[in-house]
Amino acid sequence: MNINIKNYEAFLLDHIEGRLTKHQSILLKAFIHQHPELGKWEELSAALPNLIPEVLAYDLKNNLLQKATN
Amino acid sequence: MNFLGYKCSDIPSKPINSFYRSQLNVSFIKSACFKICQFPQSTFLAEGCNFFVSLCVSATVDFESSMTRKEYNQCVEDYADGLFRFVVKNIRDDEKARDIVQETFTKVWVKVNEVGIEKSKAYLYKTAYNTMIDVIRKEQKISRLQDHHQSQQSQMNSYSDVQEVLSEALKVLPEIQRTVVLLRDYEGYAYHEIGEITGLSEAQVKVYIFRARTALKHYIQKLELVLEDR
Repeated sequence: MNINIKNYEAFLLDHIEGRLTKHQSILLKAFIHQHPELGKWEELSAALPNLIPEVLAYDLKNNLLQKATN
Repeated sequence: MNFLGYKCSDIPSKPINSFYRSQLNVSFIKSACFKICQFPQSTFLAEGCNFFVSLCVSATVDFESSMTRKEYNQCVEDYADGLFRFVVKNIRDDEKARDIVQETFTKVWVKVNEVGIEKSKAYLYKTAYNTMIDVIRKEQKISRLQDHHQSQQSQMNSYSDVQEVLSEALKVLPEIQRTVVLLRDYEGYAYHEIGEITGLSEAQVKVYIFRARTALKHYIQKLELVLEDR
């Protein structure tokens, strides 16, 4: 696990979504504390919103279907 | 005994002539495969198999990576709505989204002999994504942030819930962030699959999704502050 300034956000997402081990989370937290310019750990590691899919229909579906030629 | 309308003696062990070649397509070959299996215990089976193998070799069709017309049409039924939603949420133009979906399926139909059914969804989204990017670049869309600032005030009164706010907030995200978060939340793709569609590494996808969600969160917080001040 090599956390750096280019990938720390990927690790934050993994942490928030529960994919990091406890040890990995500790390393991530230490990295954030070493770089206060990135923000506070509490804010960066807080829950983030998800989108709920809307239902949208494609109304020209029949035009896409391929019909047998014979 | 006949095989697909041809007499057994007509089945070529020699090079396939132009008449046979003209009928080479995935549907025909799959149909041939099925019919061969209906003729057990006969010399016809062996000859039919040879014929079938010849067809496959001649047509250079890879069975694992091709679709029949029926499978393609099933893709239309299964994925057209989601694909349309993905595109329209990205470019916010129903007419152009319809055109992109149409173009995407046309491109996939042209490649029907090279795209297996199991990879069809990812191929469709990748094609739609690339087509959409071409359209956006051609039109040189103005900054979505500017759009947002102009329209934010008039929209504030019409929000009814958090999801509606998030849907509006999507518009202010940079193009790539919007794309990856839509592929994740709307279409349910895994991070590595989003990487395959967009040409990004899995880590890059996660970075953009983290940034997108953080931006959405800040958008909501900012809106709440504005509404509290009223």
